[in-house]
Amino acid sequence: MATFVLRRLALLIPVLLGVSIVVFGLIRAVPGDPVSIMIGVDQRYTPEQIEAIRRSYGLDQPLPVQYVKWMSHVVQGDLGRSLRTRRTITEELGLRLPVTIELAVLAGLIGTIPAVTAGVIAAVKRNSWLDYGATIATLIGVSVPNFLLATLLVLIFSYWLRWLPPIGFAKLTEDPVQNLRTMILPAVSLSMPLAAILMRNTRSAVLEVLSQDHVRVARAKGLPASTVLTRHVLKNASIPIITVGGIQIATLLGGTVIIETIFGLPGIGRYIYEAIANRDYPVVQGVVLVISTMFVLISVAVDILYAVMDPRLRHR
Amino acid sequence: MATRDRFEELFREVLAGRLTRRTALGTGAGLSAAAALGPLGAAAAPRGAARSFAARRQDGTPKPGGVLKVGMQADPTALDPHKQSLTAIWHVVEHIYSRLTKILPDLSVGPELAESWEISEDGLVYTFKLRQGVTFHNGRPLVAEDVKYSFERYGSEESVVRSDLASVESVEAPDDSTVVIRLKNRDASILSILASQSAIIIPKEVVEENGDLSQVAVGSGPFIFREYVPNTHVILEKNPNYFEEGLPYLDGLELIIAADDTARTTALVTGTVDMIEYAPLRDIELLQSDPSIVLAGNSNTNIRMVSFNMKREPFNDVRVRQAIAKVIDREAVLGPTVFGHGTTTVVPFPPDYWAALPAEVPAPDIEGARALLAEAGFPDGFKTTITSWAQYSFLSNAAVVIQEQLKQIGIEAELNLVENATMIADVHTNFNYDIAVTGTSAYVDPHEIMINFKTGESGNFVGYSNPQVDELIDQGQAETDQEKRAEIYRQIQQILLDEVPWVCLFVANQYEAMKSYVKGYTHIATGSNYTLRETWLDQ
Repeated sequence: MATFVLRRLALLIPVLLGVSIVVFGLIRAVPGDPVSIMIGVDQRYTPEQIEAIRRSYGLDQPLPVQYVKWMSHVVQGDLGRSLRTRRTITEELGLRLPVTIELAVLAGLIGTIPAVTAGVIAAVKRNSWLDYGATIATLIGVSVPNFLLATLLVLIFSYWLRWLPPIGFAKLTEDPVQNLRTMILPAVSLSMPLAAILMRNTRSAVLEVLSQDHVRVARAKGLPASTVLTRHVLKNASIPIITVGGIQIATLLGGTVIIETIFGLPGIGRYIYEAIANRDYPVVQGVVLVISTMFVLISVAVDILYAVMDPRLRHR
Repeated sequence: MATRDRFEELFREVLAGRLTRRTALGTGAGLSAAAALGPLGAAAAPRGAARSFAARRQDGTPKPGGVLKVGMQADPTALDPHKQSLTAIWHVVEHIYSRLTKILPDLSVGPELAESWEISEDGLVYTFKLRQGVTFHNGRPLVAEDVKYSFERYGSEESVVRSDLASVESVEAPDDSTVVIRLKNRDASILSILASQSAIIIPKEVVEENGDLSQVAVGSGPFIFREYVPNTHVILEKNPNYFEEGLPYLDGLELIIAADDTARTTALVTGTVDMIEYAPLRDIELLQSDPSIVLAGNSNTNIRMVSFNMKREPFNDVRVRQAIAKVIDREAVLGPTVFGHGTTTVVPFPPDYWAALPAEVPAPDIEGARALLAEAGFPDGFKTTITSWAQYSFLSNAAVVIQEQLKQIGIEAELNLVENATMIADVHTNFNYDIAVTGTSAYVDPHEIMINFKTGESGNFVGYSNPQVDELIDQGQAETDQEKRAEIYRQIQQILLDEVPWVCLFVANQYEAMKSYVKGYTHIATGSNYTLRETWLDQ
């Protein structure tokens, strides 16, 4: 097991090296320049003035030099400073990462627990009104874009009912009540597509296992229905559910841009979106690197969960 | 985000419909004209009904105390106005720092840190007398040497705004309360430049201690900087030692960032905040129909226009540009862009601006346009592209309308909506476009707009060049008599109307919306919110 985990973790190195080169190159390949954005369209300037400012940020050096400089800092744990805010990226991540992780965890909880339950019920009570109801709910969940859902939720819970504030984020550590009040709506809007996909997957995975021989045997030897379900069906159906759930939760980390903007949350999705829009090179590079690391770690975690659930996979 | 906008539109109609029903039932005390018209009236934004609100309200005796929560449209990202030119930075630092001068509600220049000033006979030397007894928030007295240091940093190589000071030769501090600014050439816009967001007076020791001012702010203004959490809020506290007697009335300001329009409107309506800046133009009728909300605002000085790349065929031909100017229907642009909350104009100034050339907004002339185009050798029109800002619907929607209008004379334009960085690179820097639909920020002095038509200037992204205009721009900058200046600028505008480097479309209105217990606030057409120092809560 230990070697299995270590082998998976060792994969991080080539993946991250590749990611670093790609993101470094890509953000510089798109048109636009951080300095002219800082100057804006209303300021007068000469090409020499632009050059002077570029020099002050080290942007005049050849690209390979810039890359090596950056990487030599990164391996020491220093992601550099934002060109625009002059804060260290580590500091910014310290503020923003917890927000997005909290959002993803909340959305994950809100998304998975009811979805898996509903999926199991829908499979067991196949072709009943419960199944149809769950299927319709899923269809709506997949089809309604989360920005629409977010706007709807603001309309209902903030504008009409006035139960929750539309904005006004507070840190979890400083004001947990206010924090939760501002987190519920975004977490719900974010969780909906996740829940829908997960419910569909659970349903089909459980259905598939239900039709297999060992389930029939278990029933034939007189085991109670609940034991059949928990011991024989769910355990076997869990692999595809974990796969989809893992990928979906990892996607949540990067897919929070719109939700964070609507609800005014200082999360990582909005941070990187703004960094890209402003060509804040160090931020884009640093954040992509961190998100990639987390993505890889989550898939390693999913792999480990597989191995726990299915002993056959440990030896591959 | 286009889909999202459409959905939001839908919801606004739901909202408007709901409110109309409620008013119809007789619960709305302040029945507005818009709501009284029924669902159609509320959704269709009757033009002109909500143009302008009283700039200053007679509000009685101010009551000190309380913290005002303001919903802000954008995150400042950082707080150093010499490192980035960003309105959102201004809307924070204007409460913390002081400048020598300030822009008054009538757009004239008044004193702030400077008590008085004298201008030499030749117009090249400005001598300012500073107020006595002003201290920075760290307790140190503010002296003339600080002004000198601040302007040195403002004009330094690493400042992105150094060109503001292009006409400044030197800044001297002969004694603690005197500042002498020497100019290279006469510049009538200098006093308003001294009131700009970048002209703040900063303490040298704070810059040296922190490297820059990105995350700290120690000024001498009415509010003291307490905290900035990115994308969340800025917390400011009353400066008890502020030099303007009795101000500010508020104990503090909480500037809460609410970038999303729906969230900003909802936050005000539900009382999560007391006031919002940039009240979303599509929500004005909704806000007006709410008896607990008051609006302040009127036309801004930011101009929206169609501009041509005159370095490219066929836009180097004046007849082509004139033909396009003739076919554009400005009234039709106002609805989809600013929901009718704007004023059409053919010159790059609002019609009531002191330097504006009085000119009628003409009705579109399709026949005349066709004739001109035929004369230029394009009787059947041509194919081209329109580039505009994807992020700003008031510009991209204008581009869509203009694309349609150009079809009337056979011009088939492909729409090219790009994100900000590409727009700045392709249109505003590299002449890599055909037609652009773009705009300017608000300004105070006409020179700031006129400079865009001078040969070789960075703001001259159309590549326009006319020696006579260059000459007049210099004259306008040097002239200090406002009437004579206006005359010079009217001459330039007449030439621009003939040669059409820009087809000016409209100036947008800008509103702040607040709960009715927020008193004493005055709207300023530059977009500045500095009158929050005179604002108080009637609670």
